[in-house]
Amino acid sequence: MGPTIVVSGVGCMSDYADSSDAFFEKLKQKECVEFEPVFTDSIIQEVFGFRFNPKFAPMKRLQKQHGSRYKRFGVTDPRVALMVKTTNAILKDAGLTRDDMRDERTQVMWGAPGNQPDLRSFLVQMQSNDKLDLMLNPKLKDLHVKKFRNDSLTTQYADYYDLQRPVDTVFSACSSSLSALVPAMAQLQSGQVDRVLLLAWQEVSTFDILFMSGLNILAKDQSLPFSGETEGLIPAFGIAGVLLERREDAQARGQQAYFSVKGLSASRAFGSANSPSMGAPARMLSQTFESLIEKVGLTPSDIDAVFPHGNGIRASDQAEATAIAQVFAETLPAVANYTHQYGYMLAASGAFDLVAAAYSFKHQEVLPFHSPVSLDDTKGVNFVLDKAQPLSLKRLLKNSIGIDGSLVTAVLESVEAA
Amino acid sequence: MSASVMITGTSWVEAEARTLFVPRLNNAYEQYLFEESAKASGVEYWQVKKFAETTGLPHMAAMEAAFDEAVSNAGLQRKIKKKNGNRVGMIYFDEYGPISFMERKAQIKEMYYSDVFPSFVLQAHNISGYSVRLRAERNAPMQAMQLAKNLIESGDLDVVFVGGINPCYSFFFLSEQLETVQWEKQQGIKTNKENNTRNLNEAAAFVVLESADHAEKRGITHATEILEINSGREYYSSKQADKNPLPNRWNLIAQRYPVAKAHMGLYPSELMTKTESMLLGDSLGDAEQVNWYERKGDSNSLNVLRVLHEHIRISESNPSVQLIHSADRNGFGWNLLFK
Repeated sequence: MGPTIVVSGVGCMSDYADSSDAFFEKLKQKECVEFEPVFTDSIIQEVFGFRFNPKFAPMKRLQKQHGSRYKRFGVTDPRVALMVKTTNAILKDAGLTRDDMRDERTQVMWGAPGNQPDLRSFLVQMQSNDKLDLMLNPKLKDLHVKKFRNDSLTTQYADYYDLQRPVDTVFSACSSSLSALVPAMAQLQSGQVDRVLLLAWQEVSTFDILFMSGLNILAKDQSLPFSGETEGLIPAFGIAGVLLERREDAQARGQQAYFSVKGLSASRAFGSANSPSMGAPARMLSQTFESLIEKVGLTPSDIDAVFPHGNGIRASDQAEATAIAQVFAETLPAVANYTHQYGYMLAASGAFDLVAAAYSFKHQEVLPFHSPVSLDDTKGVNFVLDKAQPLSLKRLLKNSIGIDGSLVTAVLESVEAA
Repeated sequence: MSASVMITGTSWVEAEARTLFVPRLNNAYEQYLFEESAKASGVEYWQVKKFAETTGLPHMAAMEAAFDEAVSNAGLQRKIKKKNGNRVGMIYFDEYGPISFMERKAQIKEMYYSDVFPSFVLQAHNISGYSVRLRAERNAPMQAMQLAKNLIESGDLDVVFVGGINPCYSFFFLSEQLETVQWEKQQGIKTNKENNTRNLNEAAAFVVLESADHAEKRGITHATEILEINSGREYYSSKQADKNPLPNRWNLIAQRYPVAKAHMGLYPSELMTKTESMLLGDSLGDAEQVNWYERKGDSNSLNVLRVLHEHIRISESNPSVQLIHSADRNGFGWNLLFK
């Protein structure tokens, strides 16, 4: 058995809250983010063939607010500026400094799709354009490798911190946050590195909107995870991350860790060879939960709380709720999902739940989540809806589902119990 | 065999005939990039092997063919037993992010497989272990192999397929050339404009990494062993030459391994290749240098896999220690040692 790996610092940023403290406060107040329409121009909406104008939360204000702040340090991309700001918050929370990022034994992992171009700039004129198009639409020049390459972002980030190791950017759709945990744990447990800063993010790009529209999973008005009235998902750009290290390293600094990562299960086992998968079946989810719990030497009664994926896609949510009801029928752990409040964070969704878990372990309570409608579709699940549920929180199960067919589940454990 | 990590299979699928790229008359931006690139770099002729034009094979079909070839070459069963499927995974790398829209016919299914994850190859072979897409640069295979090696060493997986495709789209290779010239300028180096032709290859390739124990149980008695993969900052600017840690890194390698052959020049920059060659001579003087610069055409991030494929599949079995060195413009360089 390898060393115990703990989360000793957390941070997040989105339109919902620009810091983890603000995030916790808004969750406590059961506040909801205000979404905005994707298309500001109905002509563009028609050009892209959208029947309705979907909503999202793109962090435009925060990008504008912080985008110029780091320019003198070579960070010219506002998205990287927000990543730097979030990273600094995680470091501070973990009792570390920028110097620790420069250490050869620090690894940064991004759970993210990486850089994506804004297709609106060139898609219509990509195949055919003339000199007048070039003059009238200077953004046509975004059809350039630097708008596609991920190093346009990682180089700015790595140079800012003078990283000695390249950033690893791993992507498995909406389970990317937890997918990045797998190699992070492997590196820490083998002793190759001393700390991993895991940063998850996904900008809501035009590609993402087109893709999700093509799959017919975007909500027109309301995304209500675990409700029969949900229309689909409403995406949001969010950045969230955690600092992972060995327990004794955190203790040596006098740092109180939030929780440890007791075990992980990562698989890719649904869908068929001829059709993309849109969700994991309930039976597969329950088998995954049960086998992971058994693998780490526990029983379902040892799990005190569950943070499901809960993206607002009805079939996916129902399968998850059914699996939770089956596996935990006797003990009814507290179940919470805050997606309706801050939007669906796509690749970063798992990391936002890790931040929420940090609060739960620290304060020994699961905060209630807001749902404007009843969740009677999901009988047998102990949703925390009215008030915070105080409990002696020793272990929390976090589940994550990717539309690419990935299923990643983690058992998190209090540092005292580890 | 020990608890080390082996390469038990490789594959390489490449487009066939080269065609001369000519910018489209109805695309002023493409013509602009072509002219600017020629002016800045001296490159006027782009000889490109493209799948769709020379073989009729679209990118995902080429990727599937490469994956199947790797399965076969590794001696794995086409359908992996379901109970073992979760011990096998894939790290699929890409350099450009979403590109399906470059093809006019792309529908949602193509977008999904091309830009999210090509899960169909896993499903076709009953592979259900940890698999992700890695966004990286030219050295994506090095980075992916390091991740795969970690996952095998930690016991998470027994077998990992590492691979990807190299699509050649005019907007990418023309603007990439401009970026390289810009980078050379920043390094204070005058661009060599004597070479007016670039050869590019569309390709798909995989290597199969496997724990030695697992390979031994399957009856594999001989395979290429990965000794070490490391990475670090490198500096190619003449102003920062004294900061370049490559000599130190290679001196350390020379102390640990008797390197017989060193492959370099995987980035199509004469500056990088010359610097690497000069430093290599100082640190690993006895090693035979193999310069891949423009040797067989540039396949971007797949160049590293081509070296491995040709060594393992085409060259004679050679137990000597070999080094592949490759660096990116982002300031990070990689070393892969194998035998």
